[in-house]
Amino acid sequence: MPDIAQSPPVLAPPTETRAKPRFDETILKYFTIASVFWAIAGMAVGVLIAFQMAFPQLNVEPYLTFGRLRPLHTSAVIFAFGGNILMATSYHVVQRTCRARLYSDFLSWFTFWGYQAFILMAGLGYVFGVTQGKEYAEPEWYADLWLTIVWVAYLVNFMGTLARRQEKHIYVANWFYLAFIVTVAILHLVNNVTVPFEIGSVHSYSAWAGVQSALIQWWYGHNAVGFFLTAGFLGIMYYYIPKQANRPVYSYRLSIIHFWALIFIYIWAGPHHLLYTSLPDWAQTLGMTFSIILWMPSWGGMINGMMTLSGAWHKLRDDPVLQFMIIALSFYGMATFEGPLMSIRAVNSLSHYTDWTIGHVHAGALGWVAFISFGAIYYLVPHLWKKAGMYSTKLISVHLWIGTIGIVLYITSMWVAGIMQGLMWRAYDEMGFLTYSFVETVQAMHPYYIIRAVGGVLFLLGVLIMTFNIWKTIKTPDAAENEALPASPAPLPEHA
Amino acid sequence: MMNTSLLGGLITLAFTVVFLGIAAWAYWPKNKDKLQAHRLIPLNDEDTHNDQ
Repeated sequence: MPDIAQSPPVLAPPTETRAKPRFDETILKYFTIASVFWAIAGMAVGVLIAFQMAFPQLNVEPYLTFGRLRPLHTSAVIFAFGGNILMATSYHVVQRTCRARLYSDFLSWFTFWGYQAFILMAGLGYVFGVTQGKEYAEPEWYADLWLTIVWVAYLVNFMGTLARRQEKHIYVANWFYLAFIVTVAILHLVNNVTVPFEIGSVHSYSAWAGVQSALIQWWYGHNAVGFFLTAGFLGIMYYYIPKQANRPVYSYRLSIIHFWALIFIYIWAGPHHLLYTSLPDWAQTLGMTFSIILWMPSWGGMINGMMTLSGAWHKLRDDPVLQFMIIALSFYGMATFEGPLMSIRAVNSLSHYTDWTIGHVHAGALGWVAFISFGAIYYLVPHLWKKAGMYSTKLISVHLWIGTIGIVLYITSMWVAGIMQGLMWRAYDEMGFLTYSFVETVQAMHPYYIIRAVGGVLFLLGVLIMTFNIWKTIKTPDAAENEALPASPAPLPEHA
Repeated sequence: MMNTSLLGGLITLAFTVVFLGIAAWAYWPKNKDKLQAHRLIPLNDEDTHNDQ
């Protein structure tokens, strides 16, 4: 038998035989920078449309009108900022917790460039008036098909990494990411069944019509909230809060219940967007009931995240990154308390179609989604670029407080505006005539629209401060090769 | 053919039973140590080093 050990070494240039790093971190840097870029773009458009609401003269026809820019804002912040940070963190978490490199370098790069191409296709379409007119599902058929291909590549890359894991158990954060990827795929495919007008047309007819179309749209729309903006970002919570606090999550058993309760319940809540419509009453009641049941998993999850700091609350005092994460959880708790409340028929009869809904969405989007993302970004940047820490901790604090004040201005002004709007719409005199004309309600909104826009400006300013901080961090010389390893977690009290 | 409301009821029941099963499994005292041990997975990754 030939002695293999003595056979000559493989003749190949050293660059080719050198093994790849254990984890693919370059792709994470790309996704992280992309998410910051899209955050600025999407929030800047948000500020512009907020001012357009207050000062309609700012609408520039036809391309820069509110109607075209509004989906540009929502898609840019949800799918571009949110989507990129979800891809960055999911690719990071799955590698770290599986102790395995991403399944395929090709698929990683394909998802990156393919996803940015989808964002551009969708966004350019809106500005030029190409839209399906379905909220959060505005991209037309060609962009939808392209996204499907990119999304399948993402799923294969994620599952492939899970399959080659060195760790026996799949950590719970990955369950949330996988639920996000799979559910979004199903929602996207069902809600976007369309046929183009004719060969070569960018416009299309939907396969769904009437009340079925409405139900499918809000089954899609609410689960985009449930699985894109909640499940995905809970994946961030379950990895980055324990990492930042250097403590394990409060209860793994609670995280299992949290996950399955969310999966079993969220999918039925969509009809609460269609109360008092032609949707059958039983379906409305079903949506309302499941929305109220959602209080439990939402708060269970929030408590699980917060109690991770149990016994180490002092860490919260000094660490603004942890403050971002815990404030994010507080807003998650507030928004998921408010949501079920608004889905109750009696409350909905006042709140629906008013700015209260806009305030509610932003309590979740700015307070929860964006803040937990900022926390993850502040963790990732020094980690990926191998620095001892962020350039300035002080600037993280400034970002935190300026952002928080921005959110508070935003949501309080929209509460007042929304409730006032609802009360004015339903007010009638003793003869049964409506007390206010519609334009009077619009006039009454004016000061609140200005306050809301100021809140948005502050929030955007915070993101610009973060961007400066990131840029300075990347520019600083590399930290010493062997920066102090984080202390191994102290022995912990056993939790429930 | 089974009427749809009975079918709907049975599916709802099945989902509820599966969920309760998961909850019972997660909180079964015997499973506690095994499940809680998974909490440490994120903290056990050898940080900062990305070499082969």
